[in-house]
Amino acid sequence: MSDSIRLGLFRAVHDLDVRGLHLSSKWASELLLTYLPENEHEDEMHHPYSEEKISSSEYGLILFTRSLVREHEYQRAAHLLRKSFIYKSGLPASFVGKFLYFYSLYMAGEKSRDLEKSGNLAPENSKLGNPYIREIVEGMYPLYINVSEK
Amino acid sequence: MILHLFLGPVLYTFSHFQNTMDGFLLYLFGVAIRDLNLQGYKGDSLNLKLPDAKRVLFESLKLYPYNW
Repeated sequence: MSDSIRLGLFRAVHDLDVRGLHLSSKWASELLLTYLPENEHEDEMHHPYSEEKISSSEYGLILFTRSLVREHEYQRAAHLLRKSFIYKSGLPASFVGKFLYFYSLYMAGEKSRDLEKSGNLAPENSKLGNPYIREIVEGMYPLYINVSEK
Repeated sequence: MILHLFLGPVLYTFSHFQNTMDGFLLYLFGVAIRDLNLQGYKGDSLNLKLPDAKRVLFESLKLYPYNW
């Protein structure tokens, strides 16, 4: 029963997205999160646009995160991905998931920097930077080191 | 298209990063290192041996010309 609902929701997310009904697609992908399998490797599937295999739970999460990024809700997207993967391997397994996590974190930092700059709170001539840059570099560095050592 | 003409062959031979990072991740890493340097931090201050931002951006260009 839950499998057929899950497949229907996967299809609904895609069909709504293709027709430009982004808010409805976001709603469907949020609903999809409640029907994802708890076991990470329960059923792996091919990502539609790449060769890599991806678990359906991660793919559902990516679909929802993608709709959040489209709505410029970067902080929420980064928080969701961080919270979902912090008790597993620490980072999403797929390239797309990793990219969405770091990109939404980067954009959340840029957004908060712009907000601080536009307000009168920032002193004149202050160099406000992205507050998450260190976190991003420190998070991506192990990936880079893994490759450099090979 | 022009970039692809020049870098197309490289796409298939340059597999150094493909296990842990793809071109998009490398691009983001390069941008983050650039911003970190602009904020006045160097790799030493974070106890990391960070590569040059331009080098990382060029590597991402070689992996994924369409990203640009």
